[in-house]
Amino acid sequence: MSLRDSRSYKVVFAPDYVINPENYPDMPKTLKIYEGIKNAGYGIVKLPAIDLPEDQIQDWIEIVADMIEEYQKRGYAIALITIECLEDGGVWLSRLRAELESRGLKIPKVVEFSRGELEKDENLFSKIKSIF
Amino acid sequence: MGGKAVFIAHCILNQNSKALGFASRPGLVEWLIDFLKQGGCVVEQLPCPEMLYLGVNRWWHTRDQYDTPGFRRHCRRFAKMVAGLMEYYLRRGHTIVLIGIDGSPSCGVNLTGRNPYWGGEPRASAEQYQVVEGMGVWIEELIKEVERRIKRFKVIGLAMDLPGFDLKETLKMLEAELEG
Repeated sequence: MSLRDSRSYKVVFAPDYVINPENYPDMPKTLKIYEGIKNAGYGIVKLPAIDLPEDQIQDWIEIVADMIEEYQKRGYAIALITIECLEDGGVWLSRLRAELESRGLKIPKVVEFSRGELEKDENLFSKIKSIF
Repeated sequence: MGGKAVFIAHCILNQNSKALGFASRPGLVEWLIDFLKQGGCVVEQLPCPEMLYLGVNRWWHTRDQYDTPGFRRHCRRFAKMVAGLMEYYLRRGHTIVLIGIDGSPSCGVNLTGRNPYWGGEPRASAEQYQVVEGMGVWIEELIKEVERRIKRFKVIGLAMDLPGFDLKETLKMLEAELEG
């Protein structure tokens, strides 16, 4: 049984689009953000698809907030990735902010990617590497 | 492999959620995510009930310790959420696959970890963690809920944290399972 621990203590909370661009017909079909996160050695907490039925969304927001709270408390570096051209950043950003504020928590660093960056991706890897 | 929505254990995308001592990579298990994406699968991440219950600084646990009404109730809350997400993908014509971590006290599919004597003062060695046949508590509760709501789905356990793990054989097995 392995007993080494290689964790990076760095976690990004990311929209579904980052892993499943095929769920978004009008968006570039690129996994470049995922590739950048993988190469940078960050863990990913992926949110569900943005068009999830309304009655299911709040439960997911609550557990995402629970994870943010836990990682912040333990001193992990965390950030929130958003996509400019997706509704509410692709992560229900306004509702997530409200949930975090209601708990008196700090809003994690928000790193936004534009459609242009996704299409050209020249500086994508360095932008991801410099998140933390 | 296309048309599959593959629900993976949380730690496959986030090794920072593991109990301390068991993160084998800095961030994510890249060979599995790359394999699933190259095969055209949608990838969904399960919540980690261990981390959401006891946090990232939790002690090591066996299935025996997680096998409580309170932890099961906690798991059932997430099971309902995940089953709702599976129905979302079913409506879009996907078939559902669940991938757990064999040997895990909560995420094991074919193998889990037991020791009825663990408890009290936190002194334990990895050798006392007995890997035996059986499911982890989270996967057990999840499958109960999914069986109730979804007729057809596939469950796969990957022993990636156990000694003797063979990546080549695992990829071959996964390819066969996901083609079928």
